[in-house]
Amino acid sequence: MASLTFKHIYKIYPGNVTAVNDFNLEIKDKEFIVLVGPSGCGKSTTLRMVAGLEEISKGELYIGDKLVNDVPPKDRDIAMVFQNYALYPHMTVYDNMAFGLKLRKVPKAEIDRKVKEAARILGIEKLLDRKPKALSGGQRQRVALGRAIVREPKVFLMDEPLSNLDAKLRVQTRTEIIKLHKRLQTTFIYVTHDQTEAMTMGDRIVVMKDGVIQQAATPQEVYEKPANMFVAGFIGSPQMNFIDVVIEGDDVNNCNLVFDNVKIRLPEGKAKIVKQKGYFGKKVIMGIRPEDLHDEKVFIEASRDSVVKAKVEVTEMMGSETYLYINIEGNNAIARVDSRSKARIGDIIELALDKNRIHLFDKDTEVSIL
Amino acid sequence: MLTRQRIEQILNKISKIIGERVLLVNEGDKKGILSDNVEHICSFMLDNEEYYLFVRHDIKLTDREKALIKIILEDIIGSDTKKQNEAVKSLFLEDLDEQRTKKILKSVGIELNKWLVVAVIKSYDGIENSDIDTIIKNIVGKNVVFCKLNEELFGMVIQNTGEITEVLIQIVNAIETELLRKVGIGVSSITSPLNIKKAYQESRTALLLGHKFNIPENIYYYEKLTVYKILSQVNEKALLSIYDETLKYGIQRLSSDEIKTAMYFLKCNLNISETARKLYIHRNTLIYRLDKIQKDTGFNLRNFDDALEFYLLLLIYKTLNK
Repeated sequence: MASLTFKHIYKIYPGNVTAVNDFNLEIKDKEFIVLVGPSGCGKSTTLRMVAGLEEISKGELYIGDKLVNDVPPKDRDIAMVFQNYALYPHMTVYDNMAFGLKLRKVPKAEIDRKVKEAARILGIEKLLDRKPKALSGGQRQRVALGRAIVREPKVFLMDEPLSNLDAKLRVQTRTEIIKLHKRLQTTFIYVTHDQTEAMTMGDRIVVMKDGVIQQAATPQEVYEKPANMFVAGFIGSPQMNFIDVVIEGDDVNNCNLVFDNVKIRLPEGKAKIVKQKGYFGKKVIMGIRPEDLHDEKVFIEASRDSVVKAKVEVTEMMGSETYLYINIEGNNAIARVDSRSKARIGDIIELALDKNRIHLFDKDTEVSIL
Repeated sequence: MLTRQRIEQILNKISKIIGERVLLVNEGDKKGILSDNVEHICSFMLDNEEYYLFVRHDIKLTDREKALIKIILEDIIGSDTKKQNEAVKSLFLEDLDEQRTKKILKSVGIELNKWLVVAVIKSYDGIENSDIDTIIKNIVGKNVVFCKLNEELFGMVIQNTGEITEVLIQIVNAIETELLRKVGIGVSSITSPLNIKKAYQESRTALLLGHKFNIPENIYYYEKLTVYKILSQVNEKALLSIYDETLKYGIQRLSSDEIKTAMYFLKCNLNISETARKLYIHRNTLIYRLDKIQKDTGFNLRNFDDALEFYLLLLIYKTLNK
């Protein structure tokens, strides 16, 4: 069993600098958890506390049922993979993978079995006699993974392992790691600053900021129901658009989001929640994802109560879609439209907001209202 | 320094005594002789390459004789390593005259006409570290001279100064990956080989400062620690007195978020846009926080003098708080 439980975990450095603040999380056995957030948010520090490379200042960490705060790292049954592969340049791939086992005085026959099995899983059997300098970046990363696999740990800890790879290789290796997880059926804790990696890889993602968990949920939930503005803005590319609005109306059937000359009807379901929480007449922040701004005629005709006029300032042709950088009554925003869109720089276009996908955030706390 | 040639000379002598040929091969040659009905006696590392000792199966060598050959070779290699260790240690620790220094530098393979850097590696967990030197030796190339100073301290002399950062990061990562141990590395400034003792002292100082001031990285470069060097010269009583005088500013009452904001702002060269980006906050939020810090402490961090004083006080606070 390789579940992990974090109970009120803190990491506090001298000078009252709190790198990790009241971290509470339960990770199920075999789960693929991704810790994601900007630089300095505490994700690597959290990982290093699991590994035992950083002391836990306060709180309790359990691996399975065992409290491991004071358990030496080598006895925690974990393996780490770093961004820098740290392969031994003078050793063959085989010896690189066998090295850690040799240090632990594992019998030769067993080392051979484990190395060959790991090589087979990673598809690098033919590379066993080569040295690192004869390998590509992706192959080296696979060897680094192999070094961790041979330890047969209960938990794999990965700290931005793909950051040194180019974009294409990153996508490829990402898929391989996902397959590896399915194959090994072991708990993975993966740290990244890349929200695309987080969304595509994790069973659940833990979004962190300033040492605090902002939200821990499935990728879909984090994307569709972000807990606050930070999560909403961090997850999703291009970023969610935020506009200051006032909630006007007296009734759930007559509730509008107003800014400058724009009025957008809020659907009844959402209006009910807004009323219950006492936000009628208040200033809030509206969030709308770029893909929920539509320029299709059909959509516009069907949603006249959520149409806005926008000036196109920049267009970016991405291939399968186009990003329109627009200005709506002085508010900068991005719309993601079909690549066949005819919008050009300088055009004033109509866009309809998908009312059912509007997000609202408290202006002071930035917490999601809906 | 022990070489393959020297070992072969010793093996030739052994071969003459026992009347049979003992073969020394490296990895590349190994495959070629394996079919020759040979028996493996032992293997060892030399110049980062693995070597194997074989004897033919049809030779009537007793187990005792094979064990003796193994012991002799291991002893020779071991004592060479020990000799090198002692030589490097003497360069680091003893007051040697120039002539003696040059002689020892040459004997351990340090080139006199190439600048060098000394790095000192320390393992923090106090557990026996016999594996750390194995790992380091497997990473560093022939241009690095390595020695074990004590159970938790290792020294390296690097002459390919262009490669320092890469090598040191590899070492830290390898130790953390293989042994799950935290290490710190102090690195001297680049200097002439004749100043090797001074370089060693610099690297030790860098390590001490890094640990004392809890500098977040694992690798501490002596040349980048000027502020910490100055602070470390001030005795604790004086620091305490400065600290007490400045209690009125209320820095110690700042929240963790505010301290983090301040530190990022200073690290980003007082640039608001850059800081906001790094902290992932809106620039207006950052400005609000800077205004709050100014209101609470009196320090306007957008002003360089204030920022400098704030930074120094924060370091003092961190030092005393430890």
